Amino acid sequence: MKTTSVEEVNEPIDVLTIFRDGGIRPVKFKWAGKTYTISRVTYEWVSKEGSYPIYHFAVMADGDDVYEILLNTFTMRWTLSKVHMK
Amino acid sequence: MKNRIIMHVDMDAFFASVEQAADPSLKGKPVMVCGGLESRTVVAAASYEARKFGVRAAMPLAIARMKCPNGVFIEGDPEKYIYTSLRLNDIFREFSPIVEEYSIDESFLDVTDVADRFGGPVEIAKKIKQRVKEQFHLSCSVGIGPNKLLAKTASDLDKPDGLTVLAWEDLPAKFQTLPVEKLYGVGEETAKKLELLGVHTIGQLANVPVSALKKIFGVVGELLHDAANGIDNSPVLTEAERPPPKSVGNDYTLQRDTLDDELIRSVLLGLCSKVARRLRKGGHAGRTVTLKIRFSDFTTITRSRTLDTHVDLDKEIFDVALQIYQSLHKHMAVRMLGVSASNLMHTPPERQRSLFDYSFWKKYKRVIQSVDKARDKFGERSIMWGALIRKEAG
Repeated sequence: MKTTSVEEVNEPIDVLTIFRDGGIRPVKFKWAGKTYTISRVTYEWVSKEGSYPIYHFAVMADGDDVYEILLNTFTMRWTLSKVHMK
Repeated sequence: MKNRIIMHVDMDAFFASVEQAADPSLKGKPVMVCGGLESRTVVAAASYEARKFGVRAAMPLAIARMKCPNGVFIEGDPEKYIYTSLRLNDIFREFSPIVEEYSIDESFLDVTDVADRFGGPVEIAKKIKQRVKEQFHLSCSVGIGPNKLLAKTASDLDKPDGLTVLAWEDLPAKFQTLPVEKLYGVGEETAKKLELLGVHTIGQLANVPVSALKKIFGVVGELLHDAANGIDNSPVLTEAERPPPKSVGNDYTLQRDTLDDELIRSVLLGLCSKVARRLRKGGHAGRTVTLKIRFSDFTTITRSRTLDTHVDLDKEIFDVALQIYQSLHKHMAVRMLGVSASNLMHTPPERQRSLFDYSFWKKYKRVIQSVDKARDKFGERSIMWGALIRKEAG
């Protein structure tokens, strides 16, 4: 069986994002010098830090790998929070 | 009175299914969601694939690893599940305004007055299942019955992804033939007592005279008798109708069993601070403070102290919890601590303070109010007690 583990990363990333019709759609992100093209957003959720929403996305990029990225609306910064390693 | 139509929606292996939806490569794999990945935690949810290996919710992680060494163990992400649960209930409310969020993965809907509008309760259930699948890639099991008890029992009869109707006429064949431990409210201990009486099925329990059950189980005996006969008149309560909490509490299992007094005091402060914050957020204050300590041999001591007045400030609760802690005989290392406040008053009035320490408490309260405001805006961890920054007490 192919094993999967989830690694905490918590590193800032640059994300090319489309804001349309009140929604947020991450398209590409750059992490550790490499650009990843998002092929699919598999899950979305919102948490809160105080009164500021944090938008979370589980995205597939460059194959089967899943990355969890988040936009903190207080700092207006994107972070790569986790990578599902295969 | 119109016959009620109640629906119970139970998400299938909720946390594990959310993780499988977020990472589609996990579909078909044994996935276990845990409180953490240290050996002291337990499995919070196991996917159906993991259950085939004998893994169950609440099983210690170390045992789950032995049973399913090639499984995928994931540290749970409560925010992901809470958000999903809220959105799921939004879907349910599109069909009926009477929705009770029973737990993070279970809801009751009273569809009595809206069923006709959607083509009947089964059609509502089908639509809900479809919406949940389309929007979240999750499955749920739905039970439909004339009350909450039967709806909940029905949702459990065909899991996962089931849709079961349990009508009054189905009781003898589908409900009363079930083992007695399947009856909602019958725990392990009650089931053991009933077994000793020769009661193995719900039907057999239904035939035991209520007087005999009352003799053995007290007031619960009558409830058991009603339940075994499918009787449950409890209403589906919306958020606004739910009674206020009876207590507010938090527990914490230490990463390692410890005799370190300073660490234990820090953990206690963290717990008291959380309890006090939750009390204030809900507009409550408690008169009884309870401390629970579990030692490394799993013996557990619970001690309470009732005060003259209701309290909701960190220091007030911490002072009492610490007094209780110091009065206890600590015979071995501590594994877990818990603090709770009960005997609650809702919307407590301003308190009369002693003249001697009036000034201190006035200032202290003002500080806490400012801390609450900062936390409301910037998050719970934006301001914390200095003692919590060290070690693992936060």
